[in-house]
Amino acid sequence: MELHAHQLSKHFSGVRVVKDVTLTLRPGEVVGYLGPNGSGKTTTARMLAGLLDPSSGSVSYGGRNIHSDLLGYRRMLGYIPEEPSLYPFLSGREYLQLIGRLRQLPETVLEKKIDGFLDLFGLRLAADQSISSYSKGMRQKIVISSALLHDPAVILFDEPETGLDVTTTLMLRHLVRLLASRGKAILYSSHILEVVERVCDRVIVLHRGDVVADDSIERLRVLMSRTSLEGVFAELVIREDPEQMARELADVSAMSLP
Amino acid sequence: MIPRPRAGQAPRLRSGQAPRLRSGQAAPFLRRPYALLTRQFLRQFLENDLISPDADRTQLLAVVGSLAVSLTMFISVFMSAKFIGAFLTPGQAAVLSLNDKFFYLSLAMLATALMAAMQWDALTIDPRDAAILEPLPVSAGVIRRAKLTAVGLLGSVVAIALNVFPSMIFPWLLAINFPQMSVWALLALITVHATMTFMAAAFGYLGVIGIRESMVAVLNRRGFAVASPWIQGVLIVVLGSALLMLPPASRRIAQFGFDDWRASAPPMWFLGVYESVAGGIIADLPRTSMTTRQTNNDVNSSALYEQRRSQFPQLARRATIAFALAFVVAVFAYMWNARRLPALTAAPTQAGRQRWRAGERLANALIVRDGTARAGFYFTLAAMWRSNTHRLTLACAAAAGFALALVALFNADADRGAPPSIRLLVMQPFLYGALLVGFRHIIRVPAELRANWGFQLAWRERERAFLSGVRRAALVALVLPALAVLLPLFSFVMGTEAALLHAGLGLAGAIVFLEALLVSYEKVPFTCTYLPSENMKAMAPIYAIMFIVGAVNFARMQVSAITSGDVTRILVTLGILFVVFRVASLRRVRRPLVEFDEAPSTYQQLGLHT
Repeated sequence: MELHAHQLSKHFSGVRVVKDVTLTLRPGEVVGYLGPNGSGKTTTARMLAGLLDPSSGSVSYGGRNIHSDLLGYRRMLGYIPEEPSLYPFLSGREYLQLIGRLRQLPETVLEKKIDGFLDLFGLRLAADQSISSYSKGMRQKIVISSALLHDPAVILFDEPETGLDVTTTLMLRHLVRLLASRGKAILYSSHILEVVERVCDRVIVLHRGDVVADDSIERLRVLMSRTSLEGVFAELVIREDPEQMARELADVSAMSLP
Repeated sequence: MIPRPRAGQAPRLRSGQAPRLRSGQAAPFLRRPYALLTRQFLRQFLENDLISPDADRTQLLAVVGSLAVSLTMFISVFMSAKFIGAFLTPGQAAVLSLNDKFFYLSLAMLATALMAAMQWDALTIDPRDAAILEPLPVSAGVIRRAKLTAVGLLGSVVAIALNVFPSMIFPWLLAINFPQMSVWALLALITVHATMTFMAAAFGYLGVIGIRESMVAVLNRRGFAVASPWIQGVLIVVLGSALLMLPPASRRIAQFGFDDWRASAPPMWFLGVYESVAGGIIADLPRTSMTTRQTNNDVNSSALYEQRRSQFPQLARRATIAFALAFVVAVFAYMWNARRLPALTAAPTQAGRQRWRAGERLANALIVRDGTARAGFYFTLAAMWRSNTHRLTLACAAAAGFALALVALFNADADRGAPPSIRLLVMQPFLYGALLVGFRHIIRVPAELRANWGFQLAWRERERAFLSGVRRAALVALVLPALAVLLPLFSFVMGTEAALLHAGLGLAGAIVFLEALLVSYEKVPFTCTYLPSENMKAMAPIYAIMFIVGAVNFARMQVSAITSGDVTRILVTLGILFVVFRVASLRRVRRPLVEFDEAPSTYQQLGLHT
């Protein structure tokens, strides 16, 4: 089933953060969601997850508005947020147990899944320590595990590689492709263009809340006459000269004390 | 565009060049980090970003400060009214004022100690402070001094706020009946009262810091991290109970004397100093014309006072030694522990994990079989004990419960073989009732608001199942320990069989009480936005009266059931009440979906939340 967002907009205190975003996630497809800081990526992901009500527009799954059966939709959904906010006084295992039990997974299956995730993410030794002592990467691994516990059909990755080590980042790329090959519909929001280029079938580029491109990477390269996604992104989004900005930053840093 | 210095600004230095100062001259910016850090540490005492990230610190400070000042002003006027209304002789006033002096000294000591116990981890540089400040070019010594200053300022401000009005009102009203007393003597009385209450407050404050820092030094940081919540919880329960027990304990001080346990109570030591320095100001006043009855009263009271007078120097010596010891221990242990700034270390693994697993399996089989109920059960246990805010609230509730139970015990016949009485049996509903009221409050406060997205996504709208797990956690973690704590006392007084029956009936009563408390609850415990009840301030006294009346009536029914051996009536009553509350809960019109992030009603009315 497809996840479809139709002309999604969101205002915060009168400021329009996302403007008329329309996108479709199909099973087996990985859609890259690109944009600079503050372009509205996380807001869109939260609206797609049903955590934030759009100011206008709608999100539908399988042709039905997700808000008509939000619980049913969330059964199918896995969401990895940008900021891994967790209960710091729980251990990693306890958090996964809590989420699994709330999702009503059978206890035996849940324990096996938790052990599997903790082993594969190298968290076995830290499993019973409180999350407050975890590094950002460890927290992110717990978040990823909790999002995949129930084998969701739609997965929203919001900058999932934040804080992850190289090995886990590489593994995550393979995981995303593998999940897509098993029929999951995936939205992959990221800053890392190289990862998006390797993992995604299609990219949507967001700039100041507006969709400025929505196509396959190949077609975008051809259309923009660029050899890489970085070039396409720079053409679409970057208005200032990065080299000039870097020079000015270095100059500001070197300013002498009064 | 790079900003250029304006005309008249100090000359620019080349990159990396340090500013040159004249010998002995300290540039203003070199003094700044200490002041900035002190201010920052002071603000951290008011930090409350869990519940309301946008909380107005100034407003909070104003509310707390005005509450402390107005409450102590009211108490001192109220308590000193007796010195205005009746004509007391100097002897009578000297004896009677001992009660008030004991009260003020104890209040100052316990209130500052309780405040220090509540601040607990904020009293020293925590790993978060160290992680932020260590990379900055600020020496560890400056950080330590700033923290020490902030801690000292906090204690001083609280001590002054608590004692400023009593120090003026109490001596003045005490002296109002004695025109023969000079202004200088009155000023001396005010000065001594202010000094002694301040010293008592400092002793309480230093005592808690000394306990905390000694434990850190002895257990090391890792061991202390495990023991700290328990030590803090016990301290709050003990200090809170003592504070609530203060009014009944501040009676007939001179009549009871300063022997046995009274000689070991720290406020008595400071009373010794107070009386050694200023006791004679009232007691030795020249007598004016008195009636025969007044003369007799004065002679008797003066004789009683003179009898106690010889004990004051000894108590004063204890106060001096104890204060010096508390000061040395607190400062030495503080400085010792602050040699190195704390580092963020991995939390210790739970050593008894396997044993815990066995307990978990048992609980899964016997107490919570449903998955969602299990989620509620274990999450509640974790949030109650591991979240600082929730643990503190429960400790305060436990303190209130213990104080009520102790007041009931002091007025009851608790000799071996004594027949069960209402005053004795009411201890039990007082204790678990106070805990359950505290529990009802904490489930409204989010454990970590930012983490509730996990709940939102995994939530299946099975709030009844989740809440049943939460209820069971409250019964297992709060009610059963409360019953167990009191069981030995009841076994001693009434015999084991009657005590067990009492405990069983208490458990049944607790189940019904919890049901009543949760009738109007329609959120997900520990996860939803906390919105304070707008009518709580008005309703709190009514709820308190209802609670006390309910507990006394329940104790009355228990007395009848235990004495007659017939428990049918009480069980039927509890059963009916349970059904009534459950039906009331089920019949409530609930929202179609749980609102996790609920905006305040004023925001909703204005449409500012969208």
